[in-house]
Amino acid sequence: MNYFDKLVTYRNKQVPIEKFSEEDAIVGLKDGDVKVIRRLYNQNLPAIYNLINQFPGIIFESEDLLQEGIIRMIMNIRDNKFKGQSAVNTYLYGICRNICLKEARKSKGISFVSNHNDLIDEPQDDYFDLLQAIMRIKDRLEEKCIEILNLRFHLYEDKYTHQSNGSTSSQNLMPFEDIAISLGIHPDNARQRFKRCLDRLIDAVKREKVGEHYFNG
Amino acid sequence: MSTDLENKELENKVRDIWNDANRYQQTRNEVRYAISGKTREPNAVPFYRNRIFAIAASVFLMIGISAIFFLIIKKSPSPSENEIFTKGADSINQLKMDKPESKARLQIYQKKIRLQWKVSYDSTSHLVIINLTDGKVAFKTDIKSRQTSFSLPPGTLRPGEYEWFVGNDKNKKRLTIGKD
Repeated sequence: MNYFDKLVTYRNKQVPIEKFSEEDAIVGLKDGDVKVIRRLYNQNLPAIYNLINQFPGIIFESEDLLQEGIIRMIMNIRDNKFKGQSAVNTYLYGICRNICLKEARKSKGISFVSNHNDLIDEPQDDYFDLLQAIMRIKDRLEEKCIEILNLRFHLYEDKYTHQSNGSTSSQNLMPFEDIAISLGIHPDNARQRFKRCLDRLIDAVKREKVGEHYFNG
Repeated sequence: MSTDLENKELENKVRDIWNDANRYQQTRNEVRYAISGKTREPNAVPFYRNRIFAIAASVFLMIGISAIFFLIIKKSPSPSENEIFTKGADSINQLKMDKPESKARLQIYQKKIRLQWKVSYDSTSHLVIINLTDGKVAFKTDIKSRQTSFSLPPGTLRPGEYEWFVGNDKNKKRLTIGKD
């Protein structure tokens, strides 16, 4: 059994971290176990702090970067995109490194020599950029649009549970007749409203210039 | 027919992304709760800009505090203004009282002059301050029965030599207000 039994050196202070197995970590992250997330965060913060120092051209907060890395890792674990061929810490480090590399490429001229060539579970970081863009767009969309998109996409029924597949592709789209009943409008109006909101959403994503290929291919 | 299928396919893709964005939001809340013990609203600015804003805010704060101190120093009375009262206090301390000496004394506060006396009058009386330069009454006010002090508002008296008394001028005291 592989244990995380390292001592953490952070700000010249050694803090012992409680042991937990790889399996425990994966199950805990899948279930959203607060203790596991907190331990993972505390354990990896020094490494992420050092990672950021390797990118002098970009300004990151190590805490925020690590938080983002954990979010992406949890989602990948829940979607079974993490195959378990690398250690959890290595995988998390790889995600954070990819975020840094992407930011460094934006600011140009920054090179980074990786010592994690064995990273097998490459995360799809551009997909997460798209999700972040959707969240930003959602903040700007009208309430009526959000409502009808949620209805059509079954979001109100699909209250998040930690399903092993994490996918919603098997769900059907809610018929406009049902949406019309929910909103108290005519089905044709529901269809038109949905179409208008969907077009707005897609246009906004195109303007953000993030993950356009997810809509094409 | 083909267009309908394409639309359906596009809708399915958007649905998956839309729902994943929602899951992303929920996961972010979970992680934030685990780390900080509370859910935070997403930052309006990219997280790596926080340090820049913190530095900018510190600089503005320092400039603001400096400006406030500058204004306070500029507005506060000059040493010469304070000196008016200090001189007044010194001169009063050196004054010799007419009989009885202990019946009257003067306390100086920062900008107010407080006159105190020990004699209490059963009936209404007057506090009178005479300007010794021209012998005219510089200030006069009614004193209620059993009142034993009175505070002169700041700026009531101009620099100069004064005498003050309560009731009649048998027991009077000298008061000097210094010039700037």
